[in-house]
Amino acid sequence: MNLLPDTFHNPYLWPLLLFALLPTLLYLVDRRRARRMDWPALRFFLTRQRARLRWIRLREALLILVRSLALFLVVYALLGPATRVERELSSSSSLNRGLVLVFDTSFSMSYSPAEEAGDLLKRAKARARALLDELRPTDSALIVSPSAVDRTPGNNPFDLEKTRLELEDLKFGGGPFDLLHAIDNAIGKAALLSADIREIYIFTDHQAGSLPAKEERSLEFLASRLAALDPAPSITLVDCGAPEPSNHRIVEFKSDSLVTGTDSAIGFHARVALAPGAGGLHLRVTVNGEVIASRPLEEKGPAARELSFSHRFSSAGTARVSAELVGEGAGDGLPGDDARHLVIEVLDRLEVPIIQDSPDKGRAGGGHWLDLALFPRYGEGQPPKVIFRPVILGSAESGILARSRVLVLSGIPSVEPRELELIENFVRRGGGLLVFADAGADRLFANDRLWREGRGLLPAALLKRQKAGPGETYHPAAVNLEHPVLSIFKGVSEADLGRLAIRSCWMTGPVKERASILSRTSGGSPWIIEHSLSDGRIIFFATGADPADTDLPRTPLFVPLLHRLIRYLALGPSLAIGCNQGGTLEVALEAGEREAEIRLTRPNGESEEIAGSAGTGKRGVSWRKTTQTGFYSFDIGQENSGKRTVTLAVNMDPAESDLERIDADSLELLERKLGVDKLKHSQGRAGLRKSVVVELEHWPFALLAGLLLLLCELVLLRGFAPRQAGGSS
Amino acid sequence: MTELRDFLDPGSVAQLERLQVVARKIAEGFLRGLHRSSARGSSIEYAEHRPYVPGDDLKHLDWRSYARTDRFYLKQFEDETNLRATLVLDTSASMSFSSGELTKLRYASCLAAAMAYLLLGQRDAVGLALAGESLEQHIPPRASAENLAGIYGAMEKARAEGRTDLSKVLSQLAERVDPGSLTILISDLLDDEQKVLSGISQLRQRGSEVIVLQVLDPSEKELPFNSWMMLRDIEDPSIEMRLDARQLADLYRENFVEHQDAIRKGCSAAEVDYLCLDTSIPFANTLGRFLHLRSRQR
Repeated sequence: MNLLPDTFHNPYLWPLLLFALLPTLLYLVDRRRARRMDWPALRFFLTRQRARLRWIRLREALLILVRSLALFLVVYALLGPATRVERELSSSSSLNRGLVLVFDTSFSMSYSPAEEAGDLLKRAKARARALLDELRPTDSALIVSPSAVDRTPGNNPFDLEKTRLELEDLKFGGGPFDLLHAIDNAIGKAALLSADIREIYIFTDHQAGSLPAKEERSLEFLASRLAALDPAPSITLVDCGAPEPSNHRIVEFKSDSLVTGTDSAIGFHARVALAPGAGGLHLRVTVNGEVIASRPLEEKGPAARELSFSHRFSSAGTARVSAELVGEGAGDGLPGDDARHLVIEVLDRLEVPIIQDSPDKGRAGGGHWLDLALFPRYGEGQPPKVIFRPVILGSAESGILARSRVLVLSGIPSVEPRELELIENFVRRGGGLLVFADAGADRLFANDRLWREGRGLLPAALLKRQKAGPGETYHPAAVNLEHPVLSIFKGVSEADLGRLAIRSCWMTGPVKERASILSRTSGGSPWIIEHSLSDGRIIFFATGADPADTDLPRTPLFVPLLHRLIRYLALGPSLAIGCNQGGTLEVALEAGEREAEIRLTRPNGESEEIAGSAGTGKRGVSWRKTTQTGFYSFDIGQENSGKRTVTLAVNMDPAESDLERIDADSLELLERKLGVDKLKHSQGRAGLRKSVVVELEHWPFALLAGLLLLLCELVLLRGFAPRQAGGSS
Repeated sequence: MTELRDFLDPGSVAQLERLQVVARKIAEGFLRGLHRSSARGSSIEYAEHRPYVPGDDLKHLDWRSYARTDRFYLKQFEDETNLRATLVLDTSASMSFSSGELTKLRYASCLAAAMAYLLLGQRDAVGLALAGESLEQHIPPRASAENLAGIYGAMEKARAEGRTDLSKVLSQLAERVDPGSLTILISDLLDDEQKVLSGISQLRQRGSEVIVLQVLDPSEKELPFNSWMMLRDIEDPSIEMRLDARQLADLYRENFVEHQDAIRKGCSAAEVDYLCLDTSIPFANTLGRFLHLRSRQR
């Protein structure tokens, strides 16, 4: 054994070695503080004991040396010194091996190198299989993977046969691979292994995204976790990735909105990154299978290029929009990122329920003015593409709310608690709400039920009505013209908006956090406030929608403003957002669909019946097996009204499709901090390891030596104990 | 003028007197009972004749023998006569040490004064020798109050200084003391025990009874310190030593005990009474015990 240690587990304790100087320091301090005294028997004593005094001085020096050495050894033991010794691993070795096999099952491992059949996960499995074959029956192994089922400790988690079976069942999934998180998890599992040698093998493609830069602190934490284990596990990083992967990909594909009308074009934007040497590629955009655009992609090096398209849908419904790379060199090792998909909801009519206290108020009610503005009686020659269908109601109804994307509260009617719950749920699911507070609004109801100290629908509490003096009026001020709704007044109608007369309005309390005031009155009170509640948006007017409070309904500004408001609120987040590959698709079920038959059709055309809400515990259906990219259709049979189809898109996570490899510096840091061994998947024979480095701890020897020295000190002290002295006369 | 009460604690004298009363009851009174004189003097029991030498008292001349023989002879009688005692007081520098109020020299002086007073009370002749590096002052023993005053004066003037050399002092003294006299050595005996015993031995060879009273400060018997000390020898300031009293205490104590044992054994072998006195204990107690022990030995 090498007497000099190779490493110290607790190097931060080095300063404690100064303690070894303590006996000498105390000795010197004591000597300096010696009291002077004239003594009668000194000469007589020295004459008699000169030889013994010499020995006493020698013993004193010895004691100091022994104490210093004992302290040094104790502190040395605390430092955790260890020598790394390489031991042969063979079948005749008596050492038990315990293996933790960590697999990167992220979709980047689905890359198929050109030179061999099968993907990277297959490579990893082959290598792991060889490792398991090398083990003896007394050895143990465990697979750790985000996609693998975590075995309970009581179920013999390290059983070799189970591990072999689990290896064969290993599939893609579990999201992006985080190398440090995986190491952390593996250390935790390795701690459970009762083996003489603990080994962690990580099979990964060395994707850059799996190891963020500047992770020194995390590495130090992991190093401390490793050091805390005895025996500390070794970590081997098995590189299963392709050294120079050839992959062109659509990094991003998005639309201006996931909901649009038939009245205007919608923009699509794609970002494409091509592999070096790729040529003759086109980006093709299809809508429901029909090609609407195709653009050639020129090779411009590794930088991503952006392309934009626009399209106007001619009919309402769910549109499947795909962007894909086509051409001669389109096929590559990772086909999942060669196409990206979107589901666009196209509207041609929009029901706008308007709720006010008395639907029959006639021209005196705000609902009348809203109805007029939303459904103007256009001439036959210019019918609008998206038709607003306002309906004035006295109460909220679930049926109409289910069909609508926007709701208007005119005058803050006192709705029943059940209706209020319906409205809140409607907004939380992504619906838009437009609120006009007129003079008839019940302040107490508004504050108690709708404001609810910032937890309800209103963005602020109503304080009191503010009326302009006789002959005076307020005007809109501090208008946020950058807002998508109010931006129509920018430049052209700005002056007109400022000339609006506001005779009375509600003064509000402080607006809730994250609400924004779009406009104030010249009296200083907020006039238009926007805020959000979960996925839904709410815009609040402190005035009514009828001309009693403001001239707005009578001016030409009202129609475009209201249309803009309704479109803005209606075209919120789509209810049909998909997920990344490997994620979970979720579809909310309506009231009549809980027992419905649900059939799922996968991107490859295969379909199957799946369970509804019973298994999930939620009011909906979840689907986790999203290994394919493309469109997943859920056909939901309804009790009385046929069938509803929900289509969701699944795309490869852009981070997964970026096959850039971990840089050498990061790997070097990993090696330095954690002692990670790097190994190519093809390196060596079946056995990845022929020997193992075992750490031999020095601390027991140091501690023992320290204790022996302390014993020596006792002997030294006892050796000079006075003999039994005779009594004096 | 030195007063007797400077040296004697009345209480201690009273104790000693009580011991004398006890002694008289056992052996015909304290003065006669304690010491049988080996000298010849005037008494009723005839002892022998010896030739006259100039200076002899003429009243002891035997005129009848002169008439018969024409020679001068002195007639001698067996008689009880007083003791001739010499108090040897150590005045070396080590006697100046004190851990309390009383130095060893002061304590020894008081002790010597008490002895002198006691002896004179018994009509014994008392002398004094001051022992420094050599015999510095010697007052021959006389049974007179004037002599006693002289002894007190000498003790009063005595200063503790110089090094101890008891061997030399006792050797010098041995040439001056009479055979059969009593020598009382009062010292801390912090010297080589062989030299001390050699000096005592010379006195014994001279025919003198010797009593050794070792006076020690209580802290001298051990090192009563709990820290590092820088000790300097009182008798030789050039000798200094820095030591850890906690570590050396045992050795020191052991060494002291060995020294005392050697002295005690040496004294016992030379038929010398030895007593160790502690300056923290009233000397009269110890002295009384010593005289009582001595009286029993007789």
